[in-house]
Amino acid sequence: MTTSSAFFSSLLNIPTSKIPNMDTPLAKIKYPSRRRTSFTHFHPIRSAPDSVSIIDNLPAATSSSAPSSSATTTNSVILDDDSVNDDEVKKGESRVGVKVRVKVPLKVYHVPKLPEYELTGKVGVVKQYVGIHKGKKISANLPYKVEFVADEVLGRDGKPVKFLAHLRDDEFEFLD
Amino acid sequence: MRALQASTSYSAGFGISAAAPPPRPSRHRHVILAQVEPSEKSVEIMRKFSEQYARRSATYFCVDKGVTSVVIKGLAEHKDTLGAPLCPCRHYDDKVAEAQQGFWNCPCVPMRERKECHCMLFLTPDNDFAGQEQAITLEEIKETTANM
Repeated sequence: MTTSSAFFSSLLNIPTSKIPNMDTPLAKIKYPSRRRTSFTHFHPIRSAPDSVSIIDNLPAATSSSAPSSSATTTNSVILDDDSVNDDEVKKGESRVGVKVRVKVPLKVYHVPKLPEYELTGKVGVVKQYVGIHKGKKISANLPYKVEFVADEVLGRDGKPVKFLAHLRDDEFEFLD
Repeated sequence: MRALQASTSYSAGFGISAAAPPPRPSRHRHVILAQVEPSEKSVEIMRKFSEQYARRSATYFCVDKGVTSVVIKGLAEHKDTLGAPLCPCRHYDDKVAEAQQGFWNCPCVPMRERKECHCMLFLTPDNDFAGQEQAITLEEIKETTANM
């Protein structure tokens, strides 16, 4: 075994120093760069749609005040949001059946038989508040479903065409 | 046991089998992306839908087809995971509830009623970024999203 390097050197006319030490099997060679003794960061490999889950995984030692405070802020924001939205939802749902008039310039394109229809100044009836679905908050930004009648066009049965339009609460005023 | 770990240069003259271990392939650890690739079938369905709806609504795709492609892929991904193509350009607290309720299912209510698509998938002709085309091919989608 020990003569192997001498053997090679003599045959190849290469100085012994240049021949790698044969006794050490390569398997023992360490790759120091790959050693991972401590993780200070947890790689956010998985998808995390909300930031709260990543923040929770940071070890206490490394979490500075910023992430922990944002974690608490996020939590508190969610709580506040819920109570705010409950009020909104209640207000919206209580207004079903109320007549409204559109007060902003607004055109819709989904009325049957009409390519474009001007809604400004028209009066309709609130049919539904769409901000909540099976108890869960929905992010719809036009939560009031208002039914209008298009006097200008007659449907197949001779009656004026009815259609629904979604509106924001600042686009109309209640007529009560 | 003599571990013949000679490198190839030594074995040249002796016919000693160079038992040099092949260089270990560098293991790039694939970072799991937040979004998995949508199925090709869904991408094709949403591509056809986008073309057809653009024609029907007289809207046009963006001059930058990359924008169109990303949105189409996002729609396809939601269709795969939720069953309905939820608007990919919005944030939701509860995606399942939103998909069931349907306000943001493409074509979303603002698009259907007011022709307002904030994803910039369907652009009215007066929009600064509207192109002239109402068509996009699968190759265009793949090319423009290849770097992701």
